[in-house]
Amino acid sequence: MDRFPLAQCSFRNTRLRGRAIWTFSCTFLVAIAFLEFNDGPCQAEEPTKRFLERLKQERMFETGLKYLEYAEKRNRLPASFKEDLAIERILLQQESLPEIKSPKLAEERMTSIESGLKSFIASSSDHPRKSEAQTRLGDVLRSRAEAAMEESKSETNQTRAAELKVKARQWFLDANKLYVSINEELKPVLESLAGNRAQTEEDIQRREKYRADYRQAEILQAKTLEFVSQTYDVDSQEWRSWLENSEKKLSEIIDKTSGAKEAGRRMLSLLYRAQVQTKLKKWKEARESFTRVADVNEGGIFRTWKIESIAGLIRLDLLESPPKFEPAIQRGVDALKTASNQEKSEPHWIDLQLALAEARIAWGNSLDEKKDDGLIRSNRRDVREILQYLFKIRGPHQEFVKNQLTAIGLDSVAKKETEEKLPEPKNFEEAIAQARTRLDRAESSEKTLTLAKDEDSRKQIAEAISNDRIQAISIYQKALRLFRDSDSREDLLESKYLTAYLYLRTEQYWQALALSQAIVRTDRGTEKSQKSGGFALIAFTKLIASRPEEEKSALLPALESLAKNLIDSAPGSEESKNALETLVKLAIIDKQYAKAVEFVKLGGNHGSGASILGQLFWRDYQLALIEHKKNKTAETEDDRRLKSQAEELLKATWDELDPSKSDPALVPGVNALANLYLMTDRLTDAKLVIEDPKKGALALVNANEGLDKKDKLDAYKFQLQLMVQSAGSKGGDQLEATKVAAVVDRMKSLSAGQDILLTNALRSLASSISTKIEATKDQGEQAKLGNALGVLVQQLVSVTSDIGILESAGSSVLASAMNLAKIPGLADQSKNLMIVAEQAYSKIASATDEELKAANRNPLEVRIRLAMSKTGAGKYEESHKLYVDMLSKSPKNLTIQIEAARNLQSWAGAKNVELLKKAWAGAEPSANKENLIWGWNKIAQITGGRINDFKESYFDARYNLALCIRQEGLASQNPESRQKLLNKSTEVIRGTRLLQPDLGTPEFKQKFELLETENKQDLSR
Amino acid sequence: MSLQRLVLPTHLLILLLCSSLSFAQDKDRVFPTKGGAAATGKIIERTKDKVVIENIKGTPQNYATNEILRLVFDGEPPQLSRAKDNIVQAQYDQAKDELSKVVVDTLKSEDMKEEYLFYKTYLSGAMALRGQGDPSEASKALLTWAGKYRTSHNFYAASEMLGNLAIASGTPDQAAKFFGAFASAPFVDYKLKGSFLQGRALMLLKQNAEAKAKFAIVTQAKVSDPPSLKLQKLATIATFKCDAADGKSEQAILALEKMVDEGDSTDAELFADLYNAIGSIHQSQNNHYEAVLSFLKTDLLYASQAEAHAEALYNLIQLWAKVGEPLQSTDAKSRLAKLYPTSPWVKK
Repeated sequence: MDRFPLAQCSFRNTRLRGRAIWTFSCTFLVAIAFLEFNDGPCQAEEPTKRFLERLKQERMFETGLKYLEYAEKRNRLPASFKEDLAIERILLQQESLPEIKSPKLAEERMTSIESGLKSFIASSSDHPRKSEAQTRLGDVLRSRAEAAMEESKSETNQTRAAELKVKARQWFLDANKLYVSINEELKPVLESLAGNRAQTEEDIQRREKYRADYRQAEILQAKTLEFVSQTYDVDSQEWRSWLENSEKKLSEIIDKTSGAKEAGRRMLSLLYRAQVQTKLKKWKEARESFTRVADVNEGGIFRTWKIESIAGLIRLDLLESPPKFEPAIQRGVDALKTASNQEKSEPHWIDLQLALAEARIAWGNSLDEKKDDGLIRSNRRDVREILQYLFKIRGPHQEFVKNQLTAIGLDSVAKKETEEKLPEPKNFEEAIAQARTRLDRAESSEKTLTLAKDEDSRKQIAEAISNDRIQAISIYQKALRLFRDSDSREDLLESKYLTAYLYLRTEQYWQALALSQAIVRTDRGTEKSQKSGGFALIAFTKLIASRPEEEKSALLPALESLAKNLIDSAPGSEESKNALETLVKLAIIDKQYAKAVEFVKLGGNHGSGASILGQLFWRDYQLALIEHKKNKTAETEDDRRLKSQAEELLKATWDELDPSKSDPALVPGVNALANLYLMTDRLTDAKLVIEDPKKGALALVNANEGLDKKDKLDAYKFQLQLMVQSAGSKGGDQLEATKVAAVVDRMKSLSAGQDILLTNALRSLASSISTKIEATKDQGEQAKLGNALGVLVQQLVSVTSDIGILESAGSSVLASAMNLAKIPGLADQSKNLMIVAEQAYSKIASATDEELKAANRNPLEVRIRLAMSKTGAGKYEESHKLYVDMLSKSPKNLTIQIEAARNLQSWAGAKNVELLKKAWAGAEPSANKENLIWGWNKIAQITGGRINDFKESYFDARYNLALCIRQEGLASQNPESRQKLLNKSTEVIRGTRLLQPDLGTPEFKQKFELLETENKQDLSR
Repeated sequence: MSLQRLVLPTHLLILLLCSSLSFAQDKDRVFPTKGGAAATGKIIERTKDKVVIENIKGTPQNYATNEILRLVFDGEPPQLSRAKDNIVQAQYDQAKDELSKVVVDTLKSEDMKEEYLFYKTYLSGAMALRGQGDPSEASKALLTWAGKYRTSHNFYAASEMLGNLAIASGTPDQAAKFFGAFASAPFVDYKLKGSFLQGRALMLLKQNAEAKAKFAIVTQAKVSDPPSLKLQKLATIATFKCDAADGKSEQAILALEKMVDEGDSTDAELFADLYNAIGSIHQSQNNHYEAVLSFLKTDLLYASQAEAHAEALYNLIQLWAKVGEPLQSTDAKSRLAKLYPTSPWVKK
């Protein structure tokens, strides 16, 4: 049998032309079938060719490419294969094209194939596979031409149509030229190998190969001539002329082929010629050519051509005068009866069904509405059934089908189907056929729902769909009762599977669950079982969603059993992954963490469930740390285990993360892992998790537009934290202002409209760094970290005038400075940060209240922070003025009163008696002699009246009152006054204890008692 | 190496010649492994190493036990004879059926009873190895038999089966002992095969040095017959696997690849074992895709080797999932279950 180029790829039906890539692939399919590999019987080498051949047969092209890559890298290719490596790689790429779903990637690959082929042809003039490469290049050129032709038909390209056609023509002509050149090159070679001239077995093999290449190129030449005609207007002189050329060439090939050995070549040429003759309106000749092909009763590719010819004949019947409607329909119906369900969706069978639909539509239009009403109705129903079936198959025919369906209307059929009675099948086989018809009809109708003219027709169709599904369930149930041992077990499984599906579609979730779980259990390892697992999962999800929270956990055991079954029978499948994820999430919702861990382990410790669990553990660990800090207790073994579990889960999820399939739900987990590394000073690991170009937190944030803003900001926040900690680490580089600014600008743009997010992110960053500083034992490192944070904010301040950023940065550094102030020995560090905060706030001080409000900032809060930072930076007088100004407008604002008193106290520096007195007794008397600044005494009185609301402020005020009086006494030059004030300070403490014996909190109690002891000691001196 | 080869003792492997009707059931018979007519007469001596049969003229003929396919005793029930024949041909269901028809009380001699018990326990073992039964239970029964009939001509067959059952029960240390007993036979082919099997059991115990020593016995033997030469190659592969387990993965792979380059790729048994070995080393090195490609060669090119194919499919289930091809993984799982429903690899 010779080679059959372009087999399966007939183009006479213009509706089926929009499939350039598909066409391309068809050629390959056939080409693969005739590709010759000659691994001898005994091979002392890696069986590369055989392995590649098997991979191709299994359509594992990408694996084949990987194999070549690995084999080449390890120098594992046999010497005999090495010279074929380049062409083999290109051919694999070419064959893999139909598997590539993305048009962009397909185009990229096609370009790479084209250049690869050209370079191979140019550099391999004597290579035995040169002609094969040339043919393949012809395929590429033709494919490109077809794509241009398709483009030229698009409505948006009408102005470029002529230009695109010229381009397409050139590609077709180039391809044609290539085929001609193959024949020219092969002719003398074949002559030199003719008859006895081929003496060795190798010569004979070469001759057979070249002969096949030669014949293939001949047919391709003829076919491309037809393609060239398509680039001219139909019926134009050029169009006719190219078609005639094609017909002539095909006739030449037909005339010189004879015998069974060349039957394939002859039949394909006949089919092509018939198509050309149809275009040329040579009806008689076309019929004769089609009939010769349609009369062949062979299997394989001959059957495909036969079907194509029958479709051609049906169309010719319609062109007869008068048209032969009924014979045409009969021809189509007879042929269609021989098709299996699977075959019906193949391109040539689709074309046949379209031809049949066309014949029925034309016949229906010719009938008399009054006389042939019944005939018209049954014919219309048959047309509709064909069209509805075709509509659900993807392809360029859909547009035509849609238009025809809309023209016929859907209402009447919907009504009819609703009324259809439940049949009484006699046996299993009959029952499943009847159920399947209804199921298929429901599926097809559902796809056409969008074509309904109005809401009423939609309802009618939906009703018909529902009725079909209910009937299908009922018939399938009957089928199960009718099942006998002699019936097919595969059909039985399929019936159960489809019933489960129907239950799902009719929202009978319990039934769907029960049946699909039974399939999962009893038919392990089958595809149906795997898909049934998916059904069961959907049913579970629906059932869970419909049940109250407290009942959800009751479904866990059943879901667990399903998940385990799926993992066991279909490991790695989407169904098993989804089942586990659901299981983990349910366990988490139910707070059954141990169970969740167990489930996560089943899934290999990764996936979004593992990530969520890891985040939960990490959160719990952090909460535990906060508790320890509050209670001054140490981290326990349990806490460490929690952290280690969190890390294990988050790390495993990150390790397995595939950025091309990444689930946005995993991003918070990646952030949490970055946070964990940062908190544990593993800066190299943190850098990788944050900045990995493929799956780092930043890369994921950039690739997932729809992510939550907080998650996006967190990624950048951790980047900033990494910069700060790196700068603060031994040998760390100084922070670069521009880099800091770039990151914060990105954060600003991400938080657009929600500055609170930016503020929170920066504050949380400052808080993390403060915690880090607290956790660091080495004071030098603490200072370095504090400095790094200061530098971060300072540089931010220097490069931005944005109120939002400045305020966020200022408040974060202020918070950090206040925390540092509590750490003994870090007062200087705190002051440095306060200076930075003051710089930030000073920069926005000039903003008007309106501008601050426009930036979503409370002007009063901003001023309070400015004043606080001035206090921290030692600018007491400026701070005092600010407080006076604020209090003149809001005299009863407790926060301002407290901070004003604190400023005076700090200003006094434990030495200035006058300022100390003002701090506790009040200052700035107004006209009514009331002090504008209350001082600690009045603050304590006011807050003491509502101690439940202001507990902390009350004790803070009482403590500072006692402290200020004591410091005043100590600073006094007069011993009597000193004594008196120290006693007074002690009385304040005792008075506080009298009213509140516990002295507020353990911290305050300790401070009060220390102060009391010091007073006692000083009094005794 | 096929499961079949591990399960059946060598002397039972050769196809049994059809018993000729001309042989009446009134004489003892010895069927030789090399084929040809059975020796008839009276069995006058039967030990684990040899069987002596005296022909009608009173001339004794010696048969080493590795040369005996099976014996038939004078007056033996035809069901028992057929069962032996079925077992030799690995037709275990039929054998079970035949054995169930034997009425033990009607067995005329102690020899017959011994044979009946041997084949019954041996059959349980063979079926357990196919996943139809508990290997530990089968092992216990066979061990009881072996304890009672220590000098039986079936001794080495029992030892080999016990070794295989111990492997299936997850006690390779026991297996090594049983294979050791098999290797202690005074026949070169048993010695080599026993050493090879012992080596494989020791590998499972991670006693690589000891395993290599056993393989060396095989590889260094001077042999010329094709089965022994094949066994030498398989032992060489196993040696390289030991090297890989000792940290010399790259060298082991290179050596195995050299075997690929120098071997005959149409030798399915050898190449399936080679590619599985290369695949498992790549797998242990986390070179998942290279491991996939190796096991895939066994899958696509050498599927005729049932046990190696099942092993390759089992590994592909894990590996495809690791390289992000869950559908391929499911396909491998489904094919493993469908093609080898009773294979131990399905139950792993």
